[in-house]
Amino acid sequence: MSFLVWHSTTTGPSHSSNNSPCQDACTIATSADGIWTSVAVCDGCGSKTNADIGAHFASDFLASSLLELAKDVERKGPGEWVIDRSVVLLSKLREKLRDTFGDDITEYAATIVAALVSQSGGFIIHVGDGVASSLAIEGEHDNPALDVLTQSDPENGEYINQTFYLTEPNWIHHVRITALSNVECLVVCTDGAQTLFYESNKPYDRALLPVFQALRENPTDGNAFLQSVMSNPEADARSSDDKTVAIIARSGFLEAAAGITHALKEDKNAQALHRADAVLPANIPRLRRRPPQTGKAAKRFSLLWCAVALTILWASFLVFLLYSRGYFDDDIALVRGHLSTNAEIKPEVQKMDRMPRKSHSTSNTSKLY
Amino acid sequence: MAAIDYASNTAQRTPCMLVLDASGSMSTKEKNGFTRIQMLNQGITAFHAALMADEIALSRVQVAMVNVGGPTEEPELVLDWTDAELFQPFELVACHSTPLAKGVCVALDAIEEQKTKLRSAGIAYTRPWMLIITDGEPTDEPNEWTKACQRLQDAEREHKVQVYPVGIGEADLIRLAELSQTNPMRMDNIRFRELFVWLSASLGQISRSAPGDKVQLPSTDPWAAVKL
Repeated sequence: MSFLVWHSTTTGPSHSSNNSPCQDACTIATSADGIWTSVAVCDGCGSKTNADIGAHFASDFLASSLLELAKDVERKGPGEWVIDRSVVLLSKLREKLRDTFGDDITEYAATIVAALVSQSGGFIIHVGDGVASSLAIEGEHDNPALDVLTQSDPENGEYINQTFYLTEPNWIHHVRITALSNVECLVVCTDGAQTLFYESNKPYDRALLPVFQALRENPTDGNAFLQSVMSNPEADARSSDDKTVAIIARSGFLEAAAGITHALKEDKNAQALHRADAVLPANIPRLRRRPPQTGKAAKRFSLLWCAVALTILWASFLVFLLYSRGYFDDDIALVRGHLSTNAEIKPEVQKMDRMPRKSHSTSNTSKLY
Repeated sequence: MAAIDYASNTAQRTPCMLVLDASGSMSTKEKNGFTRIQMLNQGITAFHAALMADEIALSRVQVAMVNVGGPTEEPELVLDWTDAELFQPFELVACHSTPLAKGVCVALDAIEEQKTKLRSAGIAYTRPWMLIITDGEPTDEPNEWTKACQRLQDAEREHKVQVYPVGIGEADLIRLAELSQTNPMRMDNIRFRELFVWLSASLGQISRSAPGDKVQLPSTDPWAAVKL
């Protein structure tokens, strides 16, 4: 049975504001028999003039080349040779770039997160930042939770706004190949989309679970849904960068993911939690808000609180004045009489406990499936 | 000062070190009736206000200050690293000499120490900035000056820090140029306010940057007069 596949790329405000092209690219291909799916997500370097062209060239080349490689995997079976062939593949991509655009390919710099997957396994090829995570639902009967089976993390330099590209002379030092086994769901993001679906380099279940639920409920509109999640003011506030996400999943995974959401719905203590998380983009990790501290906004803020405090003070004073003059004597006598006939009235207390959550684990398999 | 609570704000940080001349010459009165140190203090207040108006910069920029001269005479870390949202401006007092080389070394040590802290807290960061502002000749021993110049230039070459030297008044820009790989700029008419508003806007841009971004910094025209 083949995978269900969705992907979307949105231009971030940093590019849309000056009409410059989106520098993210994503290509997904599936073999004729539906067994193999390849995905390549590339993020062009913002400071390079032809980075958008480089990113598209690389993603198209890798997605089709990986499907070719799948034929050899079927014939030979998995093994360490896949690592060698992956490096050769990247080398061929550099050669193709030179053949097409000339000797200096630095202006076509792009990061690469590419993967070849079947249900029995696969692998990820990674250069630079962006992220790919193989996910599963663990503990189905007892506290189901989103679990990370394998993850290929972003590689930044010392500084967060620094990364590595295939077009650099030392590219080979930054190639990482990670084996995958038993793929249930693979999420691939550029660094822009990572700010929406990950927190501290870990998949953020409160952002991803509603996405899986929406894809399950309306698979045909999945790409448009992803587009809407990534192109709204809240998403723009998280990152002004271009954003690309690709999701490759088995239908069974989506069913199991929906189970977590149902569990949340059924748990009365988690009602408030569920309401907050049900609709994107409200579940995207929020920017820290704080009261204004300077200028007119701060003045208005302080005046508002002063007005509220004064009103409460005046109202209390008025009630005290009326009470001291015996204005409420009749009402108090009436209430006392009513209470004496309803002696069993007790205050209702609702206890709201936090939902227990299973922590994520990140692991790398040591050999190619 | 209390340690920064990184658990409550895991956002990436952009550290900014201010190396500020508080030597006796900063007491010089300018045409507008204010002394240079008064205008520097006004500039720091403007820096605070500009940071407060930028929500992203507020959670991502970190500030520290080293005084060169002033009551302590020897350069000191007068403001240890603090998140912009907790930064409170304070006034520097001008007196004594200008041991700029020592000030630069104190600043470089503080930057390296802060990077170690950020790494151990798992907080990502951008390249730290160092803004050096002086109005006079350094008063360090020649060998101290040479060592500091070498150390700062090495740090720049190794991408450890981004340096912006700024000369005000009659500052010797030739000497200042020895200090850093970056050409010093002379401030036009002691426009500290404009300089610090520019600094805040630039840090805001850097703190938003993603890998590969070509960051377009705001123009230095509002405060800069001469570029060597």
